[in-house]
Amino acid sequence: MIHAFYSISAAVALVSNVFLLSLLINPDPHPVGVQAAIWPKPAYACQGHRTIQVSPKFHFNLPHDAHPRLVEGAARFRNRIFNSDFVSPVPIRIEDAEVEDRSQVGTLKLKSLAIDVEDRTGNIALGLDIDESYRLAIAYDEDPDTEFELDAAVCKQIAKEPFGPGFKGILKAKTIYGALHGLETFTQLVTRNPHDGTKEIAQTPLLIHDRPLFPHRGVLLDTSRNFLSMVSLYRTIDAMAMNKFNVFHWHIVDSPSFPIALDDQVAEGEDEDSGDDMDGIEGESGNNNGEHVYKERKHRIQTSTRPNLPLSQLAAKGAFSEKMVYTKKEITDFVDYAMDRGIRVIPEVDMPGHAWSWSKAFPEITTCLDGFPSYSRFSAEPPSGQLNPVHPKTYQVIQGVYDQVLPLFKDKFAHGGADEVNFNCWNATASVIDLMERKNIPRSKEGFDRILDGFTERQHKMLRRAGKRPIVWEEPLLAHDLATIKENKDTVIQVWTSAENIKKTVRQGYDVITGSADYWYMDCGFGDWLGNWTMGKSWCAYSDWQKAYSFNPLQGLNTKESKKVLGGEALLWGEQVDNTNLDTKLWPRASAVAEVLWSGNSDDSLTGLWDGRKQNKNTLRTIEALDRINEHRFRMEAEKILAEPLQPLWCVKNPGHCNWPILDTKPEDLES
Amino acid sequence: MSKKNDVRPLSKGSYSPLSLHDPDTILDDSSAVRQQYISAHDNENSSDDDDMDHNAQRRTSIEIEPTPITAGSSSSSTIHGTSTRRPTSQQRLQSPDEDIHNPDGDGRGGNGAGGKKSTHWGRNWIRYVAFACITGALVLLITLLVLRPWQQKQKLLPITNDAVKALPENQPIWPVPKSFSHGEGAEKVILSPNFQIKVQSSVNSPSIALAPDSILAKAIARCMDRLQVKRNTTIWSTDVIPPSTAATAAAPLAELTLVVANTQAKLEYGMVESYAINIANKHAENAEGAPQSLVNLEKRALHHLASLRARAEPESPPATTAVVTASTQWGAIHALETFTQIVVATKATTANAPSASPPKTTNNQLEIPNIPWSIYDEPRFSHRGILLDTSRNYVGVPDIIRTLDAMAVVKLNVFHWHVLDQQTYPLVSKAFPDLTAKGAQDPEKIYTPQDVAAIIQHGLERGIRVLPEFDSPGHAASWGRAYPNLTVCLDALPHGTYAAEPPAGQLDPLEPFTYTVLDTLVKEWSGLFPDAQAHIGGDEVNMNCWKTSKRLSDYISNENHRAEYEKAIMPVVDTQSDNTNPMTRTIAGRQSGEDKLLELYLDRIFAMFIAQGKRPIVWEEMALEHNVRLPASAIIQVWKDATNAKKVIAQGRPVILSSSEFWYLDCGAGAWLIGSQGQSWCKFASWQRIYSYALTDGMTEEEQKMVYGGEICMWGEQTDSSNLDSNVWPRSAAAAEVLWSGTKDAQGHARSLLDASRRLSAVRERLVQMGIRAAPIFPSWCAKHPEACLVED
Repeated sequence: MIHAFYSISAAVALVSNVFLLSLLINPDPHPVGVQAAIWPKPAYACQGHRTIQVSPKFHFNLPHDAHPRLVEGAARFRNRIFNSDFVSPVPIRIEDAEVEDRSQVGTLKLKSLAIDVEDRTGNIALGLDIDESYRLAIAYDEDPDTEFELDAAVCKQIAKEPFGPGFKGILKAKTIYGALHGLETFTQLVTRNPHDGTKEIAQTPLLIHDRPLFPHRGVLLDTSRNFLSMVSLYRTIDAMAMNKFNVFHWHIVDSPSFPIALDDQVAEGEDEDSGDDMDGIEGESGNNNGEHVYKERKHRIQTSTRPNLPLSQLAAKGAFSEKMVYTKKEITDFVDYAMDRGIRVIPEVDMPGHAWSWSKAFPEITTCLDGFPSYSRFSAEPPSGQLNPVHPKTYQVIQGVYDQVLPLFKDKFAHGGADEVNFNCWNATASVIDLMERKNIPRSKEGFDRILDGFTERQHKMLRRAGKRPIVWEEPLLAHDLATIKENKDTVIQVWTSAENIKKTVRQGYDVITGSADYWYMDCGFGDWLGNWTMGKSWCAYSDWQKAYSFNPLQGLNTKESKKVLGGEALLWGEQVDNTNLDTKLWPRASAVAEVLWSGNSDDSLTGLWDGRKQNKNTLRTIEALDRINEHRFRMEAEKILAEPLQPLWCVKNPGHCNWPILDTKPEDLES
Repeated sequence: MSKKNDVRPLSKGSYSPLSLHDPDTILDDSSAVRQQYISAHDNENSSDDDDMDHNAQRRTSIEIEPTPITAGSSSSSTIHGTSTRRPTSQQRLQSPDEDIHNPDGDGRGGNGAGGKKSTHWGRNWIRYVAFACITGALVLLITLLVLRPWQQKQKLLPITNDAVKALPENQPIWPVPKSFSHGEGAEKVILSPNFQIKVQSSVNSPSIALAPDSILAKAIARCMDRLQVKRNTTIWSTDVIPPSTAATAAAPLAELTLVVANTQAKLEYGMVESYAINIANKHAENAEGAPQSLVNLEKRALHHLASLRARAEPESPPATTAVVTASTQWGAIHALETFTQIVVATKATTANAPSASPPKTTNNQLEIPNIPWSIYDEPRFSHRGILLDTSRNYVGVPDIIRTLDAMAVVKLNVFHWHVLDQQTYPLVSKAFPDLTAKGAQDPEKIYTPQDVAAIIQHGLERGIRVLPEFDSPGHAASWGRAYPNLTVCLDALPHGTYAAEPPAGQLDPLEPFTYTVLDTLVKEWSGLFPDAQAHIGGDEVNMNCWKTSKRLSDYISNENHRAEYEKAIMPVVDTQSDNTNPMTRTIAGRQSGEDKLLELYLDRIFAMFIAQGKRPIVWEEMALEHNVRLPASAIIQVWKDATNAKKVIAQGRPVILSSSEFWYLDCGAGAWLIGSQGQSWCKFASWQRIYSYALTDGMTEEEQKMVYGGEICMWGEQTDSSNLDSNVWPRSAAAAEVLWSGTKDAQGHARSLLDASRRLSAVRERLVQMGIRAAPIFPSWCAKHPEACLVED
């Protein structure tokens, strides 16, 4: 469906195949492509050569019954348009400047942009299936809905259209979230004239038809290893909106700290907890045909009452300090703030591994704490500590945590974690061994897989009962082959160790979220943080923006398989990240991820050629993207996001001069 | 300085794009060099941990010993001595495979057309070389086998080291003082709310009233501010600790006495920066460790009376004295910094405050635990710097000011300001304003003389020298924006052929106007920057660039024409050599035309700076890669391999060390040239890596004296105001401790990384508290449990 839409612009892709060609050969004097550096690049854009002014009285024309979220959004963008003193450091390309007609700058003024949203109510919930497309036109009597063959010839025709005083701006979208993306694009189109401060839009008339390649475009932040303040998180949402990201994956609890402040759980109903160890495992292992017994017991657990649990102690004892916690109010406000910007917040309370932080409040539900003499027997990094899968209280606490945490997040998805579960740990836990011996479960990988499956089944039941579709890291499927996952094909798998695993996952029929350590881990390359390793390198190599940009989540998949790829995430793990360097580590490299997920890294991606075949390296549009990402970096900086520079400023201001030497042209005879 | 896109020295000429696209080659190259370095250093390390490495080495060599290969290598040192037969016999031990690589080996004789003897020697000579190559390769192979670089598991520094005296956990001084002693927690003293700092010129003289804008008065005010911040802070957990149970000296500490002999010392290389701090209850004053300066008969007698009285009347409280002694105000500034680091804030509220309502503001109590304290401190190296490149990306004046603030916290004293480079010319010149008007990227991204003065003043108040660098004759494209005839090969493509990074452009050494401009600028700069040293650059001079000019290539290739060219530029500058500072050439052998041209330029630029009383610093290529004469006073800054330090010292020249193997802060952030997904040309330097740069290891005492210090370098290709702090801090603090305290303690023991990681995370919090966005070095959890955050095998 998406790809069918893009196939209409096949011709466009050929023209704007910029790699080398645009540098070495004088390109088409009327290039088709976005020149105002819109990031991420729209799926389709067609532009003329006239510069117009944005009237100081400019306003957004909203339907009278517009959703408040859109009304507020429009006000926000109007503010940004008129209050920002951002001027792009990237000069307009000479060939574009030559054909640009500025003769009517003083007389052609855009007074308004009419916004038309099909879903007037705004009641369509933000979710995976939301329509984020929009159509933007600044043209004379041009209806952006006009269906016509958008190709180079048509674009040339548009560029020549008479452009009288009756021209107008129209933004059409199916949902308010599409409209918000359209407003971001429009805002990026408006540039500030550095001489008189007026606002202009170059290269009109223009038509943009835009929609994302992938519905899940996320950023993962880890707030457990180092604390991130709410200010930092809000700022990240702002930056994400500028990059058309729509998922904030909040890795909120991990081993080092438990930063959510929960309330104590007060008992309700009769307490009939039996204290029997690991009911699920017993049912499954004690009798291979005892499925009914198992289900019955599960049912009992599900309906079992809530005991008294001092859940407030999780943060009181497990957070770094009393200030380094998120209150429920802070979280719900944050979720609302993100939703106002079209961003879903998906929480992850990692378990059963990565759980040391639970131990201070509930030592009995955790095991192999502070592994001695070696944490590495029990966990990937210190501190070691895993939930005890055979202790009944484990599940009471998880249920108690979920009861309070999950309702704070309105999204239909929740991340169940389940990465790096360490079987050495359980194999060194007396109660687990004891149960396995009693139930005659072999203490082999297969045996522990069954233990993990029992845990996962109960955990996912809790998630589903709370109305959440579970996402898990890749191990439950690829390393442990858990029955729970096998039986629930709607479980979403997040691949992280290697891009190779995407294929394995989709071939088994699962929806997949990509973003693996080989391309999209933003924390890689900053040295080993473990204290004594002078030669230490990160376990994974640094991904500069070019490497991040080169990743194609659909590499090697056929069309059918491609549809199982929901999208991907830029992941910034927190070992060496906190408020001080969050922005610089994330931006603008995550912007490269954003564009890949929105419109791909090649113009092939807009034509439907991107999936199902080996990507042609020559169509990778890194060089074309450079000027845009350089500008976008400064745009983000103007919005107080501390995105780091990618190049010396001279390179930014002299496009084409800082390419890898092999791309250089031959030298001219300098002194003749 | 670029050193960015190409590992190979550019002087090699022809450039091969293939190797540029092969990051593995690059990595292999540098790791092999590093490996040699490591093996050189491992052998000297005497700690337990390294003994284990030696054992491993021994074990491995025993396994290899039966093979003839090892036998050959083990006696290689004698081969070049007296015996001429020995190499032959040794060579016979080589495997046939290796013989093939030696075309002049036995059995292929009889090609002696010349004198027999010389042929024999010639053959042997070749044989020796081949043999040396083979043994060298074998030694390398064995080294590689033993050290297993692919596992990257060597520990250069011990994890823990009981032999090194550790600082108390809540008083993590950084850099660690040269020597110190303190009580074991039995006693502490509380700082009075009216605590103040008084200055005396000697122990018994009355206190001096300082002018409020004097350096010392400002340092004292800063110290008081820092203490006030400690009183108010609630955020940073490790800085604020629960009240200890130690006994309190009954009377709070009301004043710190600062005894400074000379408050007008000059800020210069070699300035005296030592200081002593003594904090003790009076009854303990006679204990060992009391400063010599305090011990005089009268005082001792008075004290004796006082202590007698104290014993007689136990209710009378003992008073605590806190005295700092320093010869200069620079030492006093460092002492005050150390003092703030041993003052601890303890929570005024109870430790078990309910989490629901943390106190909004607190008024912490300040105290000094573990008294009596006695510290004597002085720097290991006098030149301790950070290089900041403000040309590739502009760094604002407030950012530089903030960097100076942070430098003072870790006792760094040189701000090496790499202010000009090929991309921009942001330093405003009064005589040639067009240089900036056309050479800066943005009319606002410049440094006016007022900016420079403010930065110098800010540095002066903190004992930090501002050392400017005027990089030339390479890296000078930005000069050509205003005056194209100053430069040659401006913007030549492919830039990889003509410059280390774009844009290409070098000063034209045969253009008289070049010297007209330089002569004016050098005088202007000398007025602007008061430091007695100036960095003249000299890195990555590209001869291909010069050869694009007909005039220059004619000068290079045509010896007969040179005099004429020289005459054309003769009147501009007098280059008569100064007898006190003779020009010396350090590389023997015939000088190439290229180097002759370079020397022509250097003679003049050195003369200009020396005439202004500046001692020149140049990058290492001037001493190691070009056959040119340099002033005897020149200081060489090493930036390539760490091992180059010894090569420069062997020439009799002093060095400043900044090897990119250890101390380049920009490495590892990816290639910034577009069209490649390559990695940086050099690897990311973690703080541990930075901390392991053993500047003087393997040097004799005489050689060590030639090491003036070091600098950690923040090149600006991918750094500006947004990420400056987090790129520079806290990693530069690791270099600061190496430079101040040395890599080993006073007894020669290597410091422990575990202790360092604990203290470094405290430094980081200290910096964040001051508004510097220093990056976290590990999860916060590890700050409280550093012993659990170690690599395990």
